[in-house]
Amino acid sequence: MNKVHEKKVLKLAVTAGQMMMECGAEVYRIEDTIGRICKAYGINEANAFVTGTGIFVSITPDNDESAVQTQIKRIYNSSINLKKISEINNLSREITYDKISVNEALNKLYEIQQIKDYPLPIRLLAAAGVAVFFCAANSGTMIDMIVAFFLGILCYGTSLLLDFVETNFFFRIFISCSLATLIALFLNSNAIVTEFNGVVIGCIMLFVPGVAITNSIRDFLSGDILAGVSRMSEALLVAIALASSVGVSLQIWSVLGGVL
Amino acid sequence: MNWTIFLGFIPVLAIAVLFRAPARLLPSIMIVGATSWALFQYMIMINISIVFSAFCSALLVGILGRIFSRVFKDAATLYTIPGIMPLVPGAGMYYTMLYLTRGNFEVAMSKGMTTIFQAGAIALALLLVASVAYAITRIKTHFSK
Repeated sequence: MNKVHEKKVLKLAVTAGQMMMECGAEVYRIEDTIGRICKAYGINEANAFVTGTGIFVSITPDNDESAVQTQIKRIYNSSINLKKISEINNLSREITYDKISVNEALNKLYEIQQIKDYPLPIRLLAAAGVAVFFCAANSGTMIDMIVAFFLGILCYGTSLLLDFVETNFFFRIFISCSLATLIALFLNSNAIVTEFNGVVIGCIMLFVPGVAITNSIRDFLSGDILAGVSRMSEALLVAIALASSVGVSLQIWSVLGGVL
Repeated sequence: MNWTIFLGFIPVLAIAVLFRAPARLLPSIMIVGATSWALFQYMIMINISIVFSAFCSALLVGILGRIFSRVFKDAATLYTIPGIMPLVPGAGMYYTMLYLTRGNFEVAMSKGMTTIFQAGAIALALLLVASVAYAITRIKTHFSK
């Protein structure tokens, strides 16, 4: 086995791991995928250590301690992308069973990286759908639901805009939700909205940390306590951001003399 | 009765789109979300506590997600992540804050505790399903050798 081959396998494994982490996969799945890829290309000893902020992979080809190769990849931001997780999952299955070559696998990985998102109007419509549904589920009237529709779009749009200028997630959620809450309260005082609770809940549901909770449980379960704790604190921070944005907006509104 | 009980596929579809789920899995994700939401609403309707309702619905999400992930040969997370979103206590969080700002601490406390327990119940249900699924695969590989 030559050095070039090993380097390529290492690169493939680490890039796949990095992409999975950036798309919000669980730690055990990433470590498993890295192990599988290395094994499929004839490297039996591969150790991967994955946390939410970095991936460390070290391979020992042919059990030769002097030929150990290591690569570290720092992970900066992540946004949920279930499609990419699914595609990389399929790719790792292909590598294991169909024995495609390293170059082919690398090309496929780059193809996955280029996968297009759903178009913006559809995503905004989906955000509006979430807001309208939870407004309806929390006893909103017809007019409330119409308001929730536009506030959902506004909320998600603001969050996308703030994401574009690379603000942190706490600030992003805080600003988006405060905006929605204040507008809902304003419309409520003008007797347009009858049940502003439902409208605000609709907007909150866009940001609830469901993924962080699910993933942290999976991480705890498979023994990745470090990743589990970091994800759990992320979920907690999101919850605090949501609660404080609503709390601050309500407080500002009552200080300004509005009725709750 | 809340008329949204039959419409659980709408939020799950929307969330799945926001999380960029593959288009071919959207119908099965919608089935998972619709059934669990219907169970959740029905259990609340017949006066079972919201925490236990969330627990049972999350169990359903986990089990259906496992089954579908087997059928379509895909990761179970693709189902559980969008599936549990409607159960996450966003409303509880909001009402806790609302009563806190109104100075009604007793109600705020009880709402807050319910919220935390509901989140915990969802997590526990997913943990149970994942552990059982893991045990089953271990048993299968053990006996197939």
